Amino acid sequence: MDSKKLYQAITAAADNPSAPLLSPKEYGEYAELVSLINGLIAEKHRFEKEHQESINYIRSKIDQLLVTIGTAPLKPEELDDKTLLELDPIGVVADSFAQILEHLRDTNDSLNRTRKELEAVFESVGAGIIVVDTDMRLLAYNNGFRKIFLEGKDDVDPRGRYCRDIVCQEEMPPETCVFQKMIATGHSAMNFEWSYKDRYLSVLASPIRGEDNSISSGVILYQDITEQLQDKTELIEEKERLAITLRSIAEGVIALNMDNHITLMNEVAEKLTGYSQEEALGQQAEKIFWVVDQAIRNKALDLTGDLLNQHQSIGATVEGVLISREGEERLINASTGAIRDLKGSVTGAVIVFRDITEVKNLEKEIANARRLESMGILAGGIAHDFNNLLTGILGNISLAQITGDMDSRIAERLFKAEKACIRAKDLTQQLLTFAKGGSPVRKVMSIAELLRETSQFALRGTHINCRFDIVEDLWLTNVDEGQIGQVIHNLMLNAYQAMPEGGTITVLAENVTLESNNPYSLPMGRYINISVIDSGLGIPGEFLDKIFDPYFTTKQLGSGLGLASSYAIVKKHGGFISVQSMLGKGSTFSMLLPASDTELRPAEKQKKDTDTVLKLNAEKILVMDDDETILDFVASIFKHLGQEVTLVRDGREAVDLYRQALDGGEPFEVVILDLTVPGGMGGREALEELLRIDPAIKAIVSSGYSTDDAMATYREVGFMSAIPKPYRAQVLVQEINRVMQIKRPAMKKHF
Amino acid sequence: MNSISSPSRIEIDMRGQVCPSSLLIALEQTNAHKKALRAGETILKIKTDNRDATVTIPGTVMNMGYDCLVFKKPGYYEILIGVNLPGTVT
Repeated sequence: MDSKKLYQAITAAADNPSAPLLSPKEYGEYAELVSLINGLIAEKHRFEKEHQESINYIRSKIDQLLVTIGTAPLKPEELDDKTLLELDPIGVVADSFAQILEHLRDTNDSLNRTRKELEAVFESVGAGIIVVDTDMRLLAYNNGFRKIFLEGKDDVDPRGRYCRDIVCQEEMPPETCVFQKMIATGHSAMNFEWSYKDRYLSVLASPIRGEDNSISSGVILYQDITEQLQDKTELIEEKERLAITLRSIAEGVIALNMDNHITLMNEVAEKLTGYSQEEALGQQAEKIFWVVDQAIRNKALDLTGDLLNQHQSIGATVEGVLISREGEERLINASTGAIRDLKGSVTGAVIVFRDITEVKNLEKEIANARRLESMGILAGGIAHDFNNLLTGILGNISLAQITGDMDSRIAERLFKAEKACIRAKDLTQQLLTFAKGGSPVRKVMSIAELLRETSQFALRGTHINCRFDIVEDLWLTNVDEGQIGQVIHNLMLNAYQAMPEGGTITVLAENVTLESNNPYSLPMGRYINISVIDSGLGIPGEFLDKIFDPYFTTKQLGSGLGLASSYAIVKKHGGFISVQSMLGKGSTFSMLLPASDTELRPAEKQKKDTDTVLKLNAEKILVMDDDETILDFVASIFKHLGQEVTLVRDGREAVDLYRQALDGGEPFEVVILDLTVPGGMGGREALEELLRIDPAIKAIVSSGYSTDDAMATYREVGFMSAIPKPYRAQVLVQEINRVMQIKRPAMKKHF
Repeated sequence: MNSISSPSRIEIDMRGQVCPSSLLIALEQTNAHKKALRAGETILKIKTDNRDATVTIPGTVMNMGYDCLVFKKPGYYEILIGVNLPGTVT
């Protein structure tokens, strides 16, 4: 055996642990060496086996570590034994593990911090909070919960108990249970307003989910909203109060934001602008609230610009014309103010405005009335003197006619003079009426017939149709028939003269009831409204203010007294007369007269003034008048009648003479007293004394200036008759004779 | 195995290599750059074609407190390890 062969056999046995060892016998002289080598090979194989076992142990421990840190074990092909030792996997995994522990520590710290924060939030939040399991057993609760549900029960530990035992105090969860709702829906559930004892709570249940996303428990939060609800209720009430206030005030209110857009509008503003709040909201103020200067009308007034731009508090108060959506114009007075927030910053503006059209009209009306009053005083004074003069003229003419034996040409002249005097008398009568001189001699009557008769009479011989629209049950009025007839006559003449082309006049009469604070400034109550509506030329605007002024006329032949006296008559009757007119469309004159509550009495029959032969049925007559013309005329009448008359110039003289005559046993049968004696005792005062002397006295009042109600209510004062000046001789004689026939009843009057 | 360092990124390309274990290399590098990674100064970017690594690496580094993102690229995967990585929930 050579050494080479031996080497190969040794190498083969050493490299392969499963190969049989060498047989020493086969190697002769090397047998001893081979035995030694066999021992070494066996030793090598044992070492190799142990090494592999160590490697496997390390690998298994690495895998164990890898699984411990949560990942997959190594696959043998991923890492050979050599690299395994070079890479130091145990060291790597150990370092990684150290990092995992560090991370866990950090996570724990963070969780602890979060837990403490949560605990602080849990306790400090202003609400009661509980955590319950899905069976609704309390797991945790905060102080807020104890305060609401366990006040005064400090020894009670609610943990582990059902929440319904403590909160709802019922055996089963109620239908309104938000937790059950949350469980059923899987989402947070809320009861916005839950009544608990005397409080209101909002209750919110929210789920807590586990790893598998299923609900593991829940949080229920109880918030006391009693104060909030009260505040809300108060806010709603306040809002409602404000809305009612805005609705009920007479002013229009519009609120604007900083962009000058409308944010609020009340009903009055809706009515005056013609836009509803819905339409106006968000619109530019000028589009809806179009106000122009009364004189310059081409540009809308900027009412709030200064407020919104310069941040002033109070804006200007202006008068202007508000033009509505339909083009209707109303005179308004508007004031503005800034709207500020709690910090005082301007957030908008408010415009408050009032319709002053009626007020302005009324102001004009009052000014007109004052002007008329002062003119009336003047006119009354003139009329008084003029009437006295007229009495002289008319009386003497009538005397001259009675005297007879005259040339027919003279008689003709006298007749014309008398006619002119009568026309002059009518004129002064109107002047007096206007001058408040004619206190109405009233009686309760239905005005319907008077309306028809007077209107038809006034339009006789014209081409004008008259249409009556008079309600059947027209209320009665207490009026002076003559005066109201005169008013109707005047109105009809006016209407007729305004219609040169002819046409139809409508006379309307209806019942109306006026509330207090009506635009006519009349007392509240029942009235009748009479309107005369023509379709004539209309009255220019600038004349409307003056139309009731005396001597104002647009007609060539007009006296200017017709409407002025109508105005005075209606006013004296406690009524109101007004006119509305549109050029080219016609005019409407309307008068309101108070309705009477009294029943209708049969009208007193007026005695006809007869011009028959004069015959006086009294022998002893006393006449008191301060005017020489009158006295002269009266003296002439009595002289013509062959009768004596005693004439005195003031009341004192009349009283003295009457007493003397009475004492002397030859009393005066009739006394005629002038009402007004400048600087002396007038008729009314004289009668008071005379009645004391002789309660059966027969006295007649005469005046051309009947500002004193005595002319209208002569009976109440104690006179038996009233003779307005001027009068004709026939009227004087007639009234004396009438009075002589009256038997004086026992006096009831006391002064 | 090539490794390119940059101030903000350490890139390890393990494509085409079966041995040694991608996970252990990733963990070794994460441990080695722990300080910079935790401070957010560095991001570890691993390129590998070992599909198992896209499960084992993220699972382990996330337990260690890192963010990990895996992107599928043509023929390989890109795995980013760091903190506050965009698109991760912290």
